[in-house]
Amino acid sequence: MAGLTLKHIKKIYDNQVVAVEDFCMDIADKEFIVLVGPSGCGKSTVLRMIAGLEEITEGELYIDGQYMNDVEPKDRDISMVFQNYALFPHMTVYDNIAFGLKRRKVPKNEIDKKVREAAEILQISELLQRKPKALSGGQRQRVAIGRAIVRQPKVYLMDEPLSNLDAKLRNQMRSELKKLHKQMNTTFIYVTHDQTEAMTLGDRIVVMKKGHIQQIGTPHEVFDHPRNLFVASFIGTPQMNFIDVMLVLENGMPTARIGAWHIPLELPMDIRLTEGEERPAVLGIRPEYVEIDEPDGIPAPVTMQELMGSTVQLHLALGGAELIAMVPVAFADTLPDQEEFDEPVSVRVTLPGNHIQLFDPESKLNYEVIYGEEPDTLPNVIDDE
Amino acid sequence: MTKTNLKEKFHKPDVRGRLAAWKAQPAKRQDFLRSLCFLGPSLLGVIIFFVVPFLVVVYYSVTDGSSDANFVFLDNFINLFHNGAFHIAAKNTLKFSFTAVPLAVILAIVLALLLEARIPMKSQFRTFFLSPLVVPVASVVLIWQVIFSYNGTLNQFLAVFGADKIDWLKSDYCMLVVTVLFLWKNLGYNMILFMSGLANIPRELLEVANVEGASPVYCFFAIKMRYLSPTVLFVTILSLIQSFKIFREVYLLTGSYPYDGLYMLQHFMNNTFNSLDYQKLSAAAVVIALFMVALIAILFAVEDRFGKDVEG
Repeated sequence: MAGLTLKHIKKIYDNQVVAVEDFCMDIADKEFIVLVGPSGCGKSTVLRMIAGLEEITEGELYIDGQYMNDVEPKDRDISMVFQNYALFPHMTVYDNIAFGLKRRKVPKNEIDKKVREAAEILQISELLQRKPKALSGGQRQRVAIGRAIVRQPKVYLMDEPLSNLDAKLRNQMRSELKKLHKQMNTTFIYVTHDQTEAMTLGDRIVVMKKGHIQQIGTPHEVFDHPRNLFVASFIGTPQMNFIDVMLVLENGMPTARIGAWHIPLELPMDIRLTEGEERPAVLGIRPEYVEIDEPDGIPAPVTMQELMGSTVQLHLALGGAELIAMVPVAFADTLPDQEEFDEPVSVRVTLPGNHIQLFDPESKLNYEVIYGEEPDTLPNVIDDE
Repeated sequence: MTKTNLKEKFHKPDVRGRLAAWKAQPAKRQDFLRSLCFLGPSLLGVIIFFVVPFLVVVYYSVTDGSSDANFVFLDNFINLFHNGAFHIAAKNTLKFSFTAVPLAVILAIVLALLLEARIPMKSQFRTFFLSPLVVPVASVVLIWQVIFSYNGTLNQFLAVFGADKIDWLKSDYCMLVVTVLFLWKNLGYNMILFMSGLANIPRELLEVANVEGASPVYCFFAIKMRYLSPTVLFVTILSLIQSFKIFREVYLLTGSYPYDGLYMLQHFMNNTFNSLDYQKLSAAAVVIALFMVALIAILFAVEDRFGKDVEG
């Protein structure tokens, strides 16, 4: 059980590629931290630096208050689970789980007790005498997790442990990991590229891109108050809607203009808009917050319907932009069948002001960051693709 | 047990039935014929140039002359085992193979591990160890002669320190000289094979071992060597065959009748061939072939046991 502190951690590989830039974070004891981002964003590198498998080029790493930069991986009291399980093929499940304890010269009867306990927790007791070859992917991952938990280290590091499993098994293992975290009651640092995993598992999520932290926050913060356009687009499926708007002051109220439509905004902060000023901005709203068929809505033609199971995604044309709205199947069923009409079916759309996010097209930052009260501590890296 | 039961128990494969089934599957038959077309040329070559001559050799080894041959069973072999020259040749060859081959394998592993680690001038070292491969043997032998002859460079150099002259190739040091020559020639290639073997070890396994507290020695013997075992087998067989071919270098260095300590099996066979003693030659060839097959079979068995789980 231990907290971690990462101070201005930087990683430059031998080929001069900068993998991680100025990574600063305090991780509390027993926290479940998820590092998430697209591939190549440096999340795995951060994890490997914590494990001691990669050298830290610059910065300081503390585990439980102790300076760890030059400490050997085996002396950091961590354990790691890899994406491809990394089980020793010539050893039985028992020996794989017991590996760390054996190397640390723990007495045999104690090893036996701990291995059986771990196997019990992971429900692999009947597999102990098998070799990895004779196991399914899910069972292999359980063995790998077993090897990690049996030693009861201070920190668990997991590098995309569920990526090689099929979707159903992944969901199941995800909830089991959550349970395991409660049971083990210690710090977990988890790397994934899957934002659903990040949202469901993490106490806090670190969103990364190209070696830079984009946002650190609880799943709720990251989802509802994304710090910039990247986080807004990366977190959440389906993706947040982005519409280019012009902000103007109308009757003393900030208003977003989309083509001919004017949407009055209720904003919690003062965005310092002056009378007569026209300021371009990006309006973001999640598909689940788009309201349909309110009496004062804007008419928008439906271009496509996608059935997602319990919900339907309506693709709407809104003043030249495309907007996706999530509606219940029951509602979609009330819409007339498109093929029977020459004219496209229209619905009335309302964008509720309290769920609207505004982004500055220049800096890509959320207006909440620019005009909000809380100071923003992260460096802003503008990067156009 | 009734008759039918017995018949079922010792059921012989129904050859005729199978053939019929095979004929009834034109796709399989076509597949077989097509692969035979591709295999044909090399199969034919192997049969004409290796299998048939070897059968002729076996025939010679159990008869007493090329014309009017009588079957003499093991007489030629018994004669061979009483032959003093064969004794010396066999002893020298075995001694050479059993020192030079392990050295060539172990040193190559050590070099590969060194070059795998983070050291400066890595690629230069690699080139340095590989360069002997591209140097023709004849020219190398010339240099070796210049170094190791009685009035050669090494003796001159040692004379600076007041050492007596040694006739390297005609003393007990001769085996050492030839071993060094063999290692110099073969280490680079073996090293490259081991380097590729090392590169194929899953990195995560070594990382897990590292995190879980395994010592470097444990990592080497329990993980790296296990994954290298197919490469060790391959390199050992390759080096063994190369070690039997050391005759070429020795012959170029010292001719048909070298110092006793360098008289190899191939010298024996070469000289027996020159004196047209086919029976003795054939018997020796059969003995060597059997010995090699046995040795390689043992190597395969050991590797199969050791590397069973890591393959595939």
